[in-house]
Amino acid sequence: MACLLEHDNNFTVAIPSYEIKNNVTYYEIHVTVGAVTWSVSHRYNDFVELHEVLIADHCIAKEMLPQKKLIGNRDPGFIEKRKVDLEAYLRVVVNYLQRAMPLVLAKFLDFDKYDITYILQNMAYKCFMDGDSFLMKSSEYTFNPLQLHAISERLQKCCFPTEVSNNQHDFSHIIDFCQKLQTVIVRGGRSIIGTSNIIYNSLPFVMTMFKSVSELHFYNIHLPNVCDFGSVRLTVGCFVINNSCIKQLTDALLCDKVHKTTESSDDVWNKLVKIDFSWNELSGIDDGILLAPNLQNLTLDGNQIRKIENIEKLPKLTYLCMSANYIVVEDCLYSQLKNIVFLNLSQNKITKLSPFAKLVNLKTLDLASNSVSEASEIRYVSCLPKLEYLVLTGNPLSTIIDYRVKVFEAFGNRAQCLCLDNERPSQKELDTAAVLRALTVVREGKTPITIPSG
Amino acid sequence: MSAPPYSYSYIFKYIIIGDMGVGKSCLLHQFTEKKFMSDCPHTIGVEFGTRIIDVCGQKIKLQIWDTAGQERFRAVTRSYYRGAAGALMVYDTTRRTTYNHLSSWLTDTRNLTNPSTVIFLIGNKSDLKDQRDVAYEEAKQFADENGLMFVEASAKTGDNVEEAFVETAKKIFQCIQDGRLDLNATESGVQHKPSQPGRQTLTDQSPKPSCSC
Ligand SMILES: Nc1nc2c(ncn2[C@@H]2O[C@H](COP(=O)(O)OP(=O)(O)OP(=O)(O)O)[C@@H](O)[C@H]2O)c(=O)[nH]1
Ligand SMILES: [Mg+2]
Repeated sequence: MACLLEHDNNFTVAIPSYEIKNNVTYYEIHVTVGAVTWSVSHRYNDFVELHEVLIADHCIAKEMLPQKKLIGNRDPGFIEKRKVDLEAYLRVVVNYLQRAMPLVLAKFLDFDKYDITYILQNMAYKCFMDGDSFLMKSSEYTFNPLQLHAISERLQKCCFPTEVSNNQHDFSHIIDFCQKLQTVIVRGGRSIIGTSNIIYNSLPFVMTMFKSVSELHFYNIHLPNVCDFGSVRLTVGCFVINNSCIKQLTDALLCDKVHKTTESSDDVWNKLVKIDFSWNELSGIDDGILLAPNLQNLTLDGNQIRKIENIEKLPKLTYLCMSANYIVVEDCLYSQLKNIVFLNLSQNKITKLSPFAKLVNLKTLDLASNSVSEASEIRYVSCLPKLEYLVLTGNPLSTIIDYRVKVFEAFGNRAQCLCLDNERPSQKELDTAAVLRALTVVREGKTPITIPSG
Repeated sequence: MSAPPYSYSYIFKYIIIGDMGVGKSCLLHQFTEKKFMSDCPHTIGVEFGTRIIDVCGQKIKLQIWDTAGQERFRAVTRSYYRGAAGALMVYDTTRRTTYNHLSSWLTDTRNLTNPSTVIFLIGNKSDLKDQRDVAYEEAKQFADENGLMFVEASAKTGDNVEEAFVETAKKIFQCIQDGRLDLNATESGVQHKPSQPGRQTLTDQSPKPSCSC
């Protein structure tokens, strides 16, 4: 990100080329501040407008701008010369006004898009004008890393001596606004910003300006760039990180710490009850989970997890969703998942239902699109006393003839309370299931065993 | 804090300055939250708080920057003086050195703010009576000589905290009313808030002609 205040002796403008679109000539201006460059296109008339303001308000001499020409202004030789003249004009103006660049010139050169000072002025003005009416309607705001980086730099650096040109541009308005937000959303990306060479996810930022955040969403963020969570760690109840390539829970929950160990009680996210770290590169549930001891709701869809582990360390967890991973379960899950009420393990590599047999608190079990094939497996879940929603669609099992009836049969007289694959049993299904059960009784001379032994 | 959060007609920017450990953050916290923080960490850089108060029938929002007293943050904190309408300069009544440094704080303030900035001197920790290290009269004289407003206060008991913040606002408001402070001047540290949807009354659009305070 550009910061003219820091690089004022390393600031250049040039017009290396032009482009003709719909018979209009656009001059391409290249701006360089320190290591940052960007380009902005303007037609001659834009220069004229700028020039008029500069003449009126900033003592720029009238005759400095190359003259208007009505006839023959599409002649390549002419355009080439004008390009050179306009560049010379810009250089002089910029050189003359750089110390206190007027807003009109800053905007002409797109400084309000790429330079910290002007981005902040813009934001401050918006917060001042619209912040309150915005907060009256909503307490949620979406930032990009560029904005947060600008705020962070302002908070930490001391290169802003000449900043306030107007009270409405005062930084206070931004912080005032940030402190009141309850839901903060940050959307990053690996793309470059506008025409510049700045990449969103290369910009570090802090979160210390947020004091009342209860919900934090990061989408496509490079977590190592988050340098300080500040009090967010103490206030946040719901934390969403999607599509951000996190490999470990500690990477996310301790990204602002040098030592990535879970031992310090200062690092604990005590208020955190809901985590959604879907669509990352987590390969397991690591010890980082200890940093969220009060978690009730955990979603880790679309990762690379093979094994359910460490869940027993979360005594308050009742909701677990790990769809689209590589989970294989062989052994009984009781010690891990005994408190779980909602469990979604759809789109994994599960072949058996026996590991679920003892999860007596389960109300919802979603195992869609796994690899369960044997009808005999049904009996392991049919004994779960609280189960109301069961999803098995997309398993080989669900293609067996009379699959639905077989499931309802196994559930016995609880069949009517069961919603299978998002559908309640029809009367016909219930009747058929009842008949099958009666036949079994006749055939075997006893009620079928629904509670598996062991 | 009874005022609806989005209804006010002015914004005043304040800064709180003074040596480390004098109780700046505690004063701010006492003023905004009405609570005392007994083990408050040193401020890193700056902290920020707001509160809406009522002055002469006007709702005024105070935007307050609490700065770090530690020397190493001085360069950062200096960049927040600009555009302050009020400066609360704090020393610790139980530590003379913090009082002795006031003149350098005052010089900084005068250099970095504008002439209309109201400077209010607070002698904090007045609750620690038996540890007093600076006499009231002495500080009062310093304040008078330099044209500062002055109280002794305690962030712990809350004594005089409200007064310091509110009296500063009253003084600023007076300056607006008698024209000594130009609302439109850049860096006055005061902003008239354009009419907002949900504002209660329309009568507070412009300063009332008379004020009894
Ligand atoms: N007894 C008493 N103690 C106070 C009072 N105000 C602050 N303290 C204590 O003084 C210590 C420092 O207070 P802070 O508010 O952190 O001081 P500060 O001026 O913000 O310090 P820096 O942030 O380092 O500049 C804390 O331990 C407070 O508990 C007071 O009025 N009475
Ligand atoms: Mg402090």
